[in-house]
Amino acid sequence: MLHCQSCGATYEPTQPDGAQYFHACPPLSRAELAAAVKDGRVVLPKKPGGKTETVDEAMAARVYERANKRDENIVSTKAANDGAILAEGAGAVELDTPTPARVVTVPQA
Amino acid sequence: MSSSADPSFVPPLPPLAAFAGAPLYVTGDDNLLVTVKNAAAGVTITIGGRTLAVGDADASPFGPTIVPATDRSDSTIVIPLTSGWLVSVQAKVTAGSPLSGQTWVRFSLIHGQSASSPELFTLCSGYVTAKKPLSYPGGSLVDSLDGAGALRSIIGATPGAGAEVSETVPTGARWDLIAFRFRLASAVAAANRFVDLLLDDGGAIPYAHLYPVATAQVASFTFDYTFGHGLPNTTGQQAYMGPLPNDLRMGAGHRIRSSTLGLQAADQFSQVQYLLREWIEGS
Repeated sequence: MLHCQSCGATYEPTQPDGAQYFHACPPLSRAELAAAVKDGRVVLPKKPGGKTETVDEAMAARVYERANKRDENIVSTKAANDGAILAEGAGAVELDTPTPARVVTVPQA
Repeated sequence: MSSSADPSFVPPLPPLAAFAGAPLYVTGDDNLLVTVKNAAAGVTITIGGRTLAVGDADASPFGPTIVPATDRSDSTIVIPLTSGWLVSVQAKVTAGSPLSGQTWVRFSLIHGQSASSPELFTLCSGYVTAKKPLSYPGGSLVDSLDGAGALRSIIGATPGAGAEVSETVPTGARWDLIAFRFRLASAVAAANRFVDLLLDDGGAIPYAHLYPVATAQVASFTFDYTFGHGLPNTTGQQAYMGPLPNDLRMGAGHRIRSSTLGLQAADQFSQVQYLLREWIEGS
């Protein structure tokens, strides 16, 4: 199980069928944008009339991506790209504690 | 015998009939390029074939193997051909169990010895499985977007607290999304959460904005959200569901993501699971 250092997501890099999983960070959520506005990392634009957009209005109007977004998808399927990924972001680390299995086999009584 | 053999030499055409098929004449500078695009794990493909050199009476077999990458990128191998005839060639899965839609093979005749050499002729292409090889002669040119696709159930990422669900179509894939499900545990912070599902091409404006129901999820509840073909737009016991567009094809980089009005910093999405049909894109 990997932990994305950019967005905090956790994921298995290999699916149960053995296929690769390619994580890509989501855009900022409403809660994350509100925090970014509060600490000054994002300044919301003014509306006609001079009022500042609310976070909900901003969310409805555009997408806010994180600067260190991680995207593990490969750049291209051409062999020359040789597995280069779209964006490293802040990287991903292996979690120390394994996640409990989703399917548990219980021994017979 | 080389291609500069005695011009009076008569190729052993009558015996060629014994080899069946439609032998393809090649010069000493022509080679066989095998290109594989694969998404399945543990796949090995054995290339089996026969060539008949000018002046020879018996065909010579060849049988290299290729272990393709699992990220849908091009894996290639160049098989040298001598001056004479390519009698037959086939790609057979000798390890792994790829579904139709996961491992696509193309045979090409190239003039040169590297994978980037000019292609002269495409012999055949198509998906291979453990039970279905790809053969020339006899094989046709099958596009990687043809066929029923590989049915796959995927476990998505669990977002960090306060973050949205977002799943991206991988590079080199095309998806037909059949069902998409996740869970939201709302924290104690008082707010009405309205969860929508957005489908976009990676840009700012989604091409589909799906609303399960106009009912809020309030604080300190856990609800499951399911979107799928043919589902009604309804609310169950701590569950919401809504329809997905039918026959929706999504290309590489397209996203399936939640968008939640009223989402709080400690709210937690989990149990992201989805069902789809998948093809290799870019053949």
